[in-house]
Amino acid sequence: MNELPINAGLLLAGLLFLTGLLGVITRRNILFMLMSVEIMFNAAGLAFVLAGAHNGQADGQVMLIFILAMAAAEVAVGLALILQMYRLNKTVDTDVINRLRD
Amino acid sequence: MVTLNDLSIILPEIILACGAVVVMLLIALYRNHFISNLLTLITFAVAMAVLVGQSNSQQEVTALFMVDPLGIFLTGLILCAAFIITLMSFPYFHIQKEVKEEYYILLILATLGAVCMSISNHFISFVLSLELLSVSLFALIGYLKKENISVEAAVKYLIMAAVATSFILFGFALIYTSTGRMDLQGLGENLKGGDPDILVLAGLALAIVGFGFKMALVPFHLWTPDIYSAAPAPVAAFVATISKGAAFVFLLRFFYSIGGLEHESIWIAFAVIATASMFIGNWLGLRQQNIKRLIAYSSISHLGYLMVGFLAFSEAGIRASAFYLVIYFAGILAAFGMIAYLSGRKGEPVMIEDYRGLFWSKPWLAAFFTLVMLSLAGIPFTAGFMGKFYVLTSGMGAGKIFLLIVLVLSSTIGLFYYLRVVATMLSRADTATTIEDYIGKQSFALKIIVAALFILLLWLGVYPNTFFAMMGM
Repeated sequence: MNELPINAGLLLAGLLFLTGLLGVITRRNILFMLMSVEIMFNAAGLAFVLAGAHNGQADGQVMLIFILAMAAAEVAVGLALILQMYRLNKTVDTDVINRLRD
Repeated sequence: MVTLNDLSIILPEIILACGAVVVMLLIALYRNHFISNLLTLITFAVAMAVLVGQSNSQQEVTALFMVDPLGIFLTGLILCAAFIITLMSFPYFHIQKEVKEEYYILLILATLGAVCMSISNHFISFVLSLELLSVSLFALIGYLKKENISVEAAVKYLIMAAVATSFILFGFALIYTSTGRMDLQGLGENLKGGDPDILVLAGLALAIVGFGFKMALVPFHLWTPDIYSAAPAPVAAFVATISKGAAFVFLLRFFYSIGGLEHESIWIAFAVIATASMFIGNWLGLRQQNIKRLIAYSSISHLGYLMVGFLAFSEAGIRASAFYLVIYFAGILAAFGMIAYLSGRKGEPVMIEDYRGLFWSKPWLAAFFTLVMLSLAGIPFTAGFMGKFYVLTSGMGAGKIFLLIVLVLSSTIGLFYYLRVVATMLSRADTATTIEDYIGKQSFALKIIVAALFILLLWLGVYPNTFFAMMGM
């Protein structure tokens, strides 16, 4: 098998991670923020799989499965909370919902 | 292979997991707030009893967990704090118009996550226990789901914590790429001595950002005051003590085992974070009118002091940090316990003005609250002073003079706002708003907690040696 181009893979994962981070920072809709966080999680998962392949171990893929399960649990709780927030405020815009401040 | 012996070592964790299932099954059969609370208390007590009976030696349980004296100590501390929070929660939630029983399942699971985190020895076990803790906390913070700010705080914490977790994950992935190891021992063998390559450094930087979020260190502290002020008082106490303590211990274990602080750049990064936390935490606390936000800024600066013990990078530093954690836990639990004590059907007394003239209407409570504030400020003859003293000593031993100066200077700034609370309680105003309908009146458990923490804060401040002897330090 050819040598894995680890740098290219890590670059892709890094770009995905940055995309997600940018999304969390710039988006004002809570649902999109949650989706952006998911992209960040999956970027980390991708990096783990790459690292596992690079080192010739299965650990990276095991980690990915854990990350997927974790992300699913977070989304389940997150969507429930967002639903409740929508019921109370009739909006999911973070500029409108901003009671917590000094 | 997991042997029976391995299972017996992690028995406290297994008991917690079983406790959560038992409470859940009981709720399916019969809903009763008192019984759920009692079962939770029993779970924590049994786990604690098993823990005390265990030998205090270093044992590895598969590659994932390492039960060592520090881990056992932290497990005990977390269990005690969780026990107190459970006691506090019963009267607090009893008057709420919410379904109450599920709260205790979440509380046990969050505690399980924290306990597992403090004995984690591997990236996988750390990440899983971190998520167990975080996901339970999202639900706990938003537990009073009819309250708008509570839900808003929960969503905010969810996004922040998820971003922090992904930072940690990505950082770990980079470290794993470079070293090919995920267990701390293996990482230590790989990284000790030599210069880490760029991937490891980038990974560590990302992990530090994530840990900074979890422990609310400046500049990653922005969520703390919002979450504390909106979450129910017992949950805020949980976030401030248990979740931060567990994250701190893994950070300590991680960086000590890879020898990370030997590298100048990493040490400086931590020193900057610690300095900023001490100063900015104390500085922003000065202009707070809301007591829960004030405690939040206080806790930011306390984590900064704790980092001084961490940065000492020595045995003495670990011991000082562990002792400081005990005092920090006691102080924050007492402060939030006080808020819970005085809360009622109308909500919690969150503004400092609500406490005006408290000394004249409820002298004992005011005396207790004064002691708590003085302890958080670190006045001599209170526990907070002893904690700072030991952290200073450990820093002195390691020759980190700059950090010590920062610690002393920033504590002086902090003194002002703690004393302002005390002064407000002492002032005899005509407009004194006396809190009449509060839950502490009827609750025997709350009175016991307050008395116990009062004695603890005084005892640790005046005569800490017996405590050290008990802990075998």
